[in-house]
Amino acid sequence: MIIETINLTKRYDDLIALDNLELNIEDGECFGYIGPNGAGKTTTIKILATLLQPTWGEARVCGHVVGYESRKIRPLIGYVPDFFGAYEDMVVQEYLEFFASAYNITGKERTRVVGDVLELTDLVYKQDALVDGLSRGMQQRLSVARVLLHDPKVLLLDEPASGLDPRARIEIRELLKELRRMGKTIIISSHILHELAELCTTVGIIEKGKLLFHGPLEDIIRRARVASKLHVKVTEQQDLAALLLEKLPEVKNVTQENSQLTVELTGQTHDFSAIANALLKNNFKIRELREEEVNLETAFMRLTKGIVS
Amino acid sequence: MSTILTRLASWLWLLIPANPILVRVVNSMSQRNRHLYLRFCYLAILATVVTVLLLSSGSAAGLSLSVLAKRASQTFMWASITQLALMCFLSPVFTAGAITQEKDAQTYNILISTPLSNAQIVIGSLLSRLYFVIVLLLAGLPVFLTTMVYGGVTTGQIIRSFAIAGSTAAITGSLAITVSMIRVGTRRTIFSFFLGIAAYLLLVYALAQMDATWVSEAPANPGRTQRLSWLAPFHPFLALDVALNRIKAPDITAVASYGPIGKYLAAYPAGTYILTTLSCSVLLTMLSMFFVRRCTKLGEQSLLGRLKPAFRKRNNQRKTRKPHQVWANPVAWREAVTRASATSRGMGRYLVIGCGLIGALWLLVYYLKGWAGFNPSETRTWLAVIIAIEFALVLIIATNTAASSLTKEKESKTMDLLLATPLSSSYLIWGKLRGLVSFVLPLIAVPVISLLIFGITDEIRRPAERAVYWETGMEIGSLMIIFSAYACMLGLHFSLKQRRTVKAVLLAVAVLIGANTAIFLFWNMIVEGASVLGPALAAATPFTSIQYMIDPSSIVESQAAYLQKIGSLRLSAFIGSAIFITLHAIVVFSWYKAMVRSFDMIIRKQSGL
Repeated sequence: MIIETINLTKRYDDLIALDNLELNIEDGECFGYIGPNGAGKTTTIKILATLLQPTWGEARVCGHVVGYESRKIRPLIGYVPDFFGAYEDMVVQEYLEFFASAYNITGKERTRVVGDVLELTDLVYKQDALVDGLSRGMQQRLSVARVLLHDPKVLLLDEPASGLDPRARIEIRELLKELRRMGKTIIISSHILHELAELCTTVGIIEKGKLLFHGPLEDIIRRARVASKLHVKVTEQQDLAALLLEKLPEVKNVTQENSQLTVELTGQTHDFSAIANALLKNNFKIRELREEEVNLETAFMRLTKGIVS
Repeated sequence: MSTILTRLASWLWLLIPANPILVRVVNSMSQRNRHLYLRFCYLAILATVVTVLLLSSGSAAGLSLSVLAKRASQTFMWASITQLALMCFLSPVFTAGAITQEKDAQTYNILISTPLSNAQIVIGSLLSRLYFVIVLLLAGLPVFLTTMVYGGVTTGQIIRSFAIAGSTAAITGSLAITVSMIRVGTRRTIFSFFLGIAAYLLLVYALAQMDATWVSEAPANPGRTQRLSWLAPFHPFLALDVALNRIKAPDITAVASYGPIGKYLAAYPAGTYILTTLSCSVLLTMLSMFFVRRCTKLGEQSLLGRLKPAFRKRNNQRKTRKPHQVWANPVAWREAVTRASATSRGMGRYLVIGCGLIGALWLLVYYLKGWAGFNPSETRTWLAVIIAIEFALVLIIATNTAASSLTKEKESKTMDLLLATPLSSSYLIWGKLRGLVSFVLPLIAVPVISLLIFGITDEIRRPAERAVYWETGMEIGSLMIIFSAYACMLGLHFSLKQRRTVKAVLLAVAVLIGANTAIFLFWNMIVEGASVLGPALAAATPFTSIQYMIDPSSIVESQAAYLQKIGSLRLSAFIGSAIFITLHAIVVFSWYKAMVRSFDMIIRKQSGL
């Protein structure tokens, strides 16, 4: 277990930012951390980055306890905050060399590492540019470059795609996919859920400091599918088709929306032959019959609204 | 007619008593403890000055009324000077906030999109800032009234003294508001604002000491060589000197030949100072009203940019440069190199270095040629004054840079990035301290080089009496480094404790000025009476060391005694500087260790969502 939190609690006076958080992340995992604003994502990441001390409980990174062994943790992590910390009058290469020195990478090794990272993040042509004059996308790419300097085991990325235009988002996503292929453990918090779905192997949903769900992406989608829903389109006599389907024992409810019937089934099944047979027997011509798609966004909405637990 | 009057009354009502900006600032800031403490301190200082002066002159029993009146008059004089000095310091402190307040709160664009008129915005901002200064002035009034009990102080004098202090506050406030309306203020703007005011006060006061600026018709003043300067109507302290009758102004008939304006400037400098500053305040306020919705704010072109498009364009396009070599200690490198290379800061440094070296060479030429009566003694005095000014600048620059060092990291949120690296707090603070001292080293080199030039020149010439000895440069240089380290630690201390740069810089610079003034006044008394031990003791504080190690002749009885004891004085200076450098180094190191211990706790306490 590369990241482990046990009853992790953080209080800011009366506000409970984290409430007995139990989180386990395996080596090489790409963990998507989702939650509404103020749910406790940044607090968790800041604790793991050794920037905050837990009020109660314990957080371990690579087996080291945050707060007690923070010095051992820092060389093992790379932290990208939800803002870009720009130094005035510093150019890209200096910025990277500055942080490389902070990680005790010196001499020729530093020059080599900075060169490699600039190449990996495609920032070579920007090495003489002042960092505070870079675009948001470039700054974010530079942030990622910064955390790669010391080749950390764990990357803690807090909203890396926020405020980026679509092209910059895609570029960052591709860069993160490359890092995942390199075997890095990545913890990434984001509001752009479909991107997380593409990138992450496991997901955690947090709300009001409590972890509502934690597990593989497929699990959350399976869990969010409370009951099967079908979308049915018939060529004519939609009202009669609705009346027919309502009488079937497998059907719980039928609603009509425009030219489509939404059929809610009583149980979870992927066998819709009974529905199709009933319609065909009564001479309805089926134009479309498909199961409702459950994605990460739907799952997130259902879990955070308490529709599923 | 009644409609016009009603509209005028309504306009005035909305302009001042019901001005939302004024009401908001007065309401919210009146409740702050900080202002309460400031008022308390202000009154405490004034009351202390008055009480000490009244009591120190002994019992009043048996004294004639004229003696009592004279004492009261002396007390009033010092209270007025103290009040004005406090005003000159506090007015910029209270008003400078206006320069960045809208940028900080990012409310400016919202404010100008409301139906508030230009006048409401400007007057509201100005009065809300001046309100606290006016309250301070009024709070001090009872203290001044106590001096009237013994006689010798007239109501007119009190009014004039208050009017000079009030008009100084008004011009400072309107200047700050104008700056805030014309451009988006930054921390650097505030620092330039303070430095500009301090430089103006010092420079004009220094010029007024030169006989070339004196009004030839002005009568002599008992006990003083100085006469009324033409600059008195433009300087608060010079104007106050006239208002307090310390400097006499000529009769208007004697200066009638200077024309309608000149004669009033010469005959009524205090009155013209009040009139000039208030008129300038009104002009600046009107200028602000003109600029408030027209000129530069975030993302818009500045006034300078409009006037000099070619210059501005070139400056804006500076988005790349060749990278510097990063040191093994990145934090020290950041402080010493990249912050120093920021355009305006770099230019400021070169300006100080250039002016310092030109001043030293100018003095050397005068000394070598013996122009204007520049003998070794006179040269030493001038050298000490120039070096004291240079070192005061070094200390202010060091404190200001150090005070913004950690707060800037907090504001730009780079502190989190540093804390997530393996850099320890001791490494971080040591890096900052080392970088900051490296940053001021070229500035310290100027006085050291100046002293060495004089020392080496005299070593080659070997005159009977030397201006300075070569080792003085080394001693002063070593002491300056350690005192600069002190200033950096002071700045870092406030930078660590405060979240905002402006507050950290203001507090650090205020403590620096206050502490140095107090220490100098106290230690000066001890050193003055210490004879041969004087140079050794002088090494304990920055400005006594400059005064008495460069010019030790002032602590011995006579010029002949100085020449006789010069060997002992040099030895004393050497031993003293060695002892105090060691002692100060221990104190700086202990301070550094204490800061390292509290660093994590303070930073983590400040951190949070």
